[in-house]
Amino acid sequence: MENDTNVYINAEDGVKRVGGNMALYKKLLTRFAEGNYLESLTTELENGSLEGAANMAHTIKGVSANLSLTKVNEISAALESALKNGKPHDELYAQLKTAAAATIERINSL
Amino acid sequence: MRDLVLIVDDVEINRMILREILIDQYDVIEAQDGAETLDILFKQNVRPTAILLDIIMPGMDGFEVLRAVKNHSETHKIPVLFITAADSDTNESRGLKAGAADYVSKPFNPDVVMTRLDSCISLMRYQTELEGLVEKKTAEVTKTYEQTLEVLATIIEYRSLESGEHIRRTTMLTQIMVNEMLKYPHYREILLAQNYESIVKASALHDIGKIGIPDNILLKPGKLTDEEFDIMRTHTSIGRDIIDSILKTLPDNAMYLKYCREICYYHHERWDGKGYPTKLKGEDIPISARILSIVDVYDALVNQRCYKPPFSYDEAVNIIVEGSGTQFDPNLVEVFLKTTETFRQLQESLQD
Repeated sequence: MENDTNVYINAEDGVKRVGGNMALYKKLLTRFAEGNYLESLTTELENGSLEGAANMAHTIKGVSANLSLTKVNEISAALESALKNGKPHDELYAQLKTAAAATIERINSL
Repeated sequence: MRDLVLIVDDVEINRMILREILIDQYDVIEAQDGAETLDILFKQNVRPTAILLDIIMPGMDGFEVLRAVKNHSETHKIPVLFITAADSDTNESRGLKAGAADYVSKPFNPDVVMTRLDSCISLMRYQTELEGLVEKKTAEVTKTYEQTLEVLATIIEYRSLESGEHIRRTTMLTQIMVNEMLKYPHYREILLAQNYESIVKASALHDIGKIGIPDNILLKPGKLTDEEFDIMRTHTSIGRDIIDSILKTLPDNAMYLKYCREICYYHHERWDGKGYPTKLKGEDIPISARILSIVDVYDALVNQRCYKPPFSYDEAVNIIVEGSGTQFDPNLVEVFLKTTETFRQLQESLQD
């Protein structure tokens, strides 16, 4: 589980960003877990708004970068680019959903 | 006192991370979108030292917020740093072109954020300080210039070339004309580009060249002979020469003295090219001199001179109108006609 968690959350890197304040870092991770980011993205896609979905992927990319959520960050960046360039995005969306669920699960068990 | 930094980002997590990065050195306020930002700046009138601004937000995006900040006189100097997600797009260069001072990328590197913010604030302070110095220096130069003009005006008055009242009236009439011209976009543009306050001040010296005209001609009652009139006309080029020699000793006042020179030299030119000394025509005659020729003639008409009694206001206005398109710039005569009531009131309160 430890090694596995590192794939999703680079805590060492993330905690540095907030001056080594682990309590704050955990609080921010919890905010992310409760943030319904994936749900918002899903809604945009269901409404057929590619621009809205790209913006949401952009938001997820930014916040995951800041929290060092490695996997989510990688996939959301690829998804944003696919959405902006009119490329197929279903597979990336599915990957992001899985990665986000796995990340949130690990955040909740921290 | 600590500087205040405004963080604008729709994602609370990003704001919290920035707050944590900044809080040791700065006071921090947050806004979650463009509307809240404008409310803080323009309703609550909070003036942060710097703004960290996300680009992609629901509602107004970062570019629109930046424009609002840069377009407002009270906030346009506040350095704005864009928050970008690196590698995404061309937002960095677009933001810098739109007037952002710098940008910080997600994921935030605390040292980079602090360094960029610090240097943007220092640069803004330095710039403000320089602007203050330039303003102070300009005020000093203007003062010197005004003193120079006062000295010259005193000389003219002392030598009884013109009465002090004529000089004061000329300045005031020129001011009235300029005020009226500012109502027209065409003239407004020209005048704003030309530092028009200087035209008004320079008008006091239009006849300084008369210093070089002998008294027997200058003060002669009645008509001048052709020969005397030729000498009288040289007051324009004498005026120009006087200003040129002043320019040599006071080069700092070049911009202001430029108008004096134009006015002295060209205020007897005519729109149809039949004036003197250079027979310049139409818009080739500097606008300062075109204004002065109307003002000068009008004031000479309605007041007594050694060679003539005063005309009535209506007669004077008619003479100006008759000269429209021949002696005077027809467009400026049109402007003049809008000012005749103000001119008359001024004349009545300032008779010779």
